[in-house]
Amino acid sequence: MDLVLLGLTIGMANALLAVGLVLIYMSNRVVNFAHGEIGAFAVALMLTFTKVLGWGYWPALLASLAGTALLAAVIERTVIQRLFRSPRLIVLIATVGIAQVVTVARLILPKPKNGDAVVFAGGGASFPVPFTEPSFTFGRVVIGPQHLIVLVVGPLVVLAVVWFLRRSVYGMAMRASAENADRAQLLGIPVRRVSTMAWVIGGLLAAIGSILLAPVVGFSSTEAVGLPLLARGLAAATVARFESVGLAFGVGLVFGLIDQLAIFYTGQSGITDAIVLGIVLVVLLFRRFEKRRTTAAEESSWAVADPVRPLPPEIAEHPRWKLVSFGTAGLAAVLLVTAPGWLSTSNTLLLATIAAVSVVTVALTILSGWGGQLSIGHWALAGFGGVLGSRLHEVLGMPFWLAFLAVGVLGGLMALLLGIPALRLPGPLLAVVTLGFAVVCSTWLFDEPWFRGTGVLDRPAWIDIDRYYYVCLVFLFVVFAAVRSLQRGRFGRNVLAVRDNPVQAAAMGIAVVRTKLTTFVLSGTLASFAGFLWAAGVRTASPEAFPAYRSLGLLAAAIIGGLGSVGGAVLGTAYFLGIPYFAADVSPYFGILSTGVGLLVLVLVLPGGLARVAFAIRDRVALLVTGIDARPKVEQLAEPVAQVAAGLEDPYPQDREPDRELAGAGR
Amino acid sequence: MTDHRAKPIAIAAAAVLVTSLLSIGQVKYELEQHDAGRDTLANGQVPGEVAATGAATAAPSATPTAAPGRSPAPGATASAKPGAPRAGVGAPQSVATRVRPGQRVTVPDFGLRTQGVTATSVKIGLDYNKSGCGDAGALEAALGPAVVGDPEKAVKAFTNHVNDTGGVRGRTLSVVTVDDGGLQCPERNTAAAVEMVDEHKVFMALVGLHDVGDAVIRRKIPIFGGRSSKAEQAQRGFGQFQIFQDADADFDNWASFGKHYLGTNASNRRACFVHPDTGDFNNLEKIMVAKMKAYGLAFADIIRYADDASTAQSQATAAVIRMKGKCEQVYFIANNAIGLVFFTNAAQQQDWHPAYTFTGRTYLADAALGGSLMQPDQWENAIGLSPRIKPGDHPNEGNCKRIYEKYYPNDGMSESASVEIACASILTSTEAMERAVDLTGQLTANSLMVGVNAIKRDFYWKAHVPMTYTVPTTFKEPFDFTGYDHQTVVKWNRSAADYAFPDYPKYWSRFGPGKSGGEDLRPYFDDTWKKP
Repeated sequence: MDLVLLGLTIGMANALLAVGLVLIYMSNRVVNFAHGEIGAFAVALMLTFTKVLGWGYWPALLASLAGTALLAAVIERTVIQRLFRSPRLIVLIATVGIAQVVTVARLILPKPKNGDAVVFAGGGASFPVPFTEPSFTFGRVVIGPQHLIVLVVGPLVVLAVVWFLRRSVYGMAMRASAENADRAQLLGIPVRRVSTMAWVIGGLLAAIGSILLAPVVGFSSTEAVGLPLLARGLAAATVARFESVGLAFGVGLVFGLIDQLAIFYTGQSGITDAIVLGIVLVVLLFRRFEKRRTTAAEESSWAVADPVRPLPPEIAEHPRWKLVSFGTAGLAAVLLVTAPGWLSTSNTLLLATIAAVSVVTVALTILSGWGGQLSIGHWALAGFGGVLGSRLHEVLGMPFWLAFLAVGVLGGLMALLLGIPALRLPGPLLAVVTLGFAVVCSTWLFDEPWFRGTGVLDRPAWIDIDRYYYVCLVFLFVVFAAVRSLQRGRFGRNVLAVRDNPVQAAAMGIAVVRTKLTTFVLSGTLASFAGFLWAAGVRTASPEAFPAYRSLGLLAAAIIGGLGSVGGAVLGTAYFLGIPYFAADVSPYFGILSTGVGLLVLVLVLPGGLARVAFAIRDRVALLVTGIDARPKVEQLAEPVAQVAAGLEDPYPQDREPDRELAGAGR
Repeated sequence: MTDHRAKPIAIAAAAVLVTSLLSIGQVKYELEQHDAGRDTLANGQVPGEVAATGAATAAPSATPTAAPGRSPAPGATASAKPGAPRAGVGAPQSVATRVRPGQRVTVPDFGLRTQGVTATSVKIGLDYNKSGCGDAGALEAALGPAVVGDPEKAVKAFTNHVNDTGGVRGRTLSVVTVDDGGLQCPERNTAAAVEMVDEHKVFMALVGLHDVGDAVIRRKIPIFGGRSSKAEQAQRGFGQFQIFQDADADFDNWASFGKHYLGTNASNRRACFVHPDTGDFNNLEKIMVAKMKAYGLAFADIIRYADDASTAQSQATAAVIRMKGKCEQVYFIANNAIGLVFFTNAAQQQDWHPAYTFTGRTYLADAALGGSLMQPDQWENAIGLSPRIKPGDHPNEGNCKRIYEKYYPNDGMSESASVEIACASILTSTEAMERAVDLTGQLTANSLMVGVNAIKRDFYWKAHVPMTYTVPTTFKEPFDFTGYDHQTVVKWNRSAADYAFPDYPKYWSRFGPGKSGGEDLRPYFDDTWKKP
């Protein structure tokens, strides 16, 4: 029982995190990656007020909560509202950028000092508490006042949130917005204000949870809140279907308890993540599909629009355009083939790794751009290929290319194992499962003696860097051609149909779940192949080479590239890997462009990604070459606008109002 | 067969075709190599190794210059320096003390490759994370220059210092810096090695990351900064040296001391081992357990904790409760101070006061900042076996700062991490190169290791810390390949908020299983200490 009490106390971090995630998800249909950082910001504020400015506990607490609420409101108003109608993937990546901005804000805050040394981290004893008694021993555990505060205040806060959601007008408005934002808006609910309120409440929850727990577990002013904690919070929210605050709270507590029991009985930290992922997979496997009013919103909100817009036939068949396009392609081919001749060896290696990693982003494009599913663990699937490849080739002596084929097959099977429970149901479940997988890989699986290799994956001696480049280039082109072929075939059409309207797709005889699974297995297979090839290139297959957070970076690369386009995936990878690579020689500040902050700015400025810019340039060149405008025709809209401008006609007379309503409803 | 079925089959066939072609290429290459190997063996060369260039083999030895902060000239023996450890048990023995002044040492062939050195110049490489590479590193560097410092300025300051005080025995030193992208961009790590070795043709590389070091050593170029244990070093390749104590010797010291401190009686084995749950540290656990076994000891429990802050925070209390009933002694190694901060905090809250020890493996615990963050009530009871020297002689305590301020007097970065790293790596490497010239009359990659061997175990020269390195085990005398075998004792001084060194030299010396060795340090481990 003593361990249970301890588990409930420390598990409060998971529980309050899960509640905050559910609240934000209900409001915006987005997983908020900045939630933990917002809580850490509150702790840093509390330290500044009490230890630097010398304020008392209660004024400092009030000011910290107010400051955090203000921060949450500012984030919602400046970023989330701007992306209100954007695909949820874009918003998710924006929250990754927000997390980094909040981390930087936390770093800037004045910090307490111990003598001349700035205090960057500390134990619970150095964090302020409102009172210091009583303290008693319960079994093997010493329970102090800080533990009691957590045990009493935590549940009270959650009860207040539940009451707010069920009884207050704004709570009901929040629930209504969660079910269907468009309908809620039609009913007169100020959806955007409700969204701001959800963020403020979420921010306050993060602040209260972090400030309550800092005297128990200590604090760090410089370390980012890790993905393992977020993965556990998300796992709890998933079990609670992202809609039940009470259930999320309870499951969060249980996961906290499991965490404490696991470390107590095994003495190993990583096993917790594996147990939590296992529980989530089992729960999802046995969960029945229930059609709810939020289902449609969940299906559509995760889809990314903006499919690739082909050129009109009159341009594509134009002889001058053919000349230009073939000439450009030829020039690009010549440049690529001769690259090792005019690039330095290190730059050739970079180009080769861009090609290898591009296959992972292409795999993400297939999954997310076509399939509308989200994976936050594709670098882990690549790592699965790399680490397993090291075991097969370096430890078990399997021939290199046979190991290459084997990891592709096994990577596909791994994807199947993860996909079966996650893809049966709507919502961001695959995102949760793949994030959990990425965390499990980095904290447990890749370090396990029965799985890991030697930490090295040596390519055959005949593949020097130049030849490695050609191998990667050929591999990328094979994948590129195969994917383009699939996209144009029946499989591609099925995937798009399932993404756009699963109900209609099912009605037309398409096996929805099987199509989703096939997409994920294909995507996982490609990622594993790419991970093997990448590891052989850099000759590293250590667990550290496949950190969980890099999956987020690659997802961002795919989105920056423009998820609708395979070529965009390559562009995004080139941006993600190339910017820091070449920018370092110009100025270290350019490296920021590839950080979360840079990505945040980019998604705000270019929500369609680099592919949209590339298509705009293509259209402009096509106009110059052929004299034909490739852009979508807008005369029908432009005409009434022009007439209005000229004062000739009302563009929306009363008798056309129903059309507008229909248009709105359709949207 | 319908179109949609034919395409996947065609793709699979293409993949198999490509794989087959690659395999054929591999077989063809291996056949070529086989033939080439026969030719090479016929000519008396070792396959897979590149012969050393002749550029540096007959390099002139410049007149030694004894400049402030620089190494002594050859022949200036250890005992002539103040603060030198006494002769006898555990006294430093280096090539410098074994070889008579003026005597030249024959340079063995360690299989290393020489490039980047002429009679008048030597070029070395240094990598660090310039770009931030996708993480917040770039932002942090921009925000905290006083903490992180400016690596370019630091490198320039210490390069200028070397050249202004005589160069590398007359050769002008130049240091090229490349971006390694940090841990977040592994592909950049390999590229950094390629840039240094293949493009800049450096004589040696001062590496900041293991993966960069592995890639350089694979190219037979010596590195400063290598893997943690001799087994790992041997696996990656010869020619690595570093200023940190390697894990084998470090752990041997602790196990040797533990025999006297813990006792070999099974009922007395109350020591527990706590370390981060990562591949590197799990490998170190194997070494540590084997060392303990060699001394008839075993850990009562082993805890592998998560090395990320939030997980370490949440799991520390349960780990403490698990150990509370089993352990009276905790041997802690930490990748960064976070683990120790949260662990000592949880132990304090749970009213548990074990006796802690640590060694140089817990780098940050051996610094005032790390120590000041931990629970002082807990840490005051800790003992460190550290390769650090007495206060005032450590590069952090004046020497590096003074040199840097000579070139950049008022920029406020003289105590930054960049200065510390550039100082330790450039001055250490310069010292090794100079001793190589002094002892062998030449500066080659192979002779560098002779120079490295000469400064190993010296407490008092400008690198200030012992170093370890790896060469083929077939080479014996006069080279001593054992690790550094004695360490000073460190205790946390709560009132000074810094580590205190007992009267120097007080050290524990490792003599091997079954033997008594070194000074009895048990008085420094106050068994009667209780919580205040």
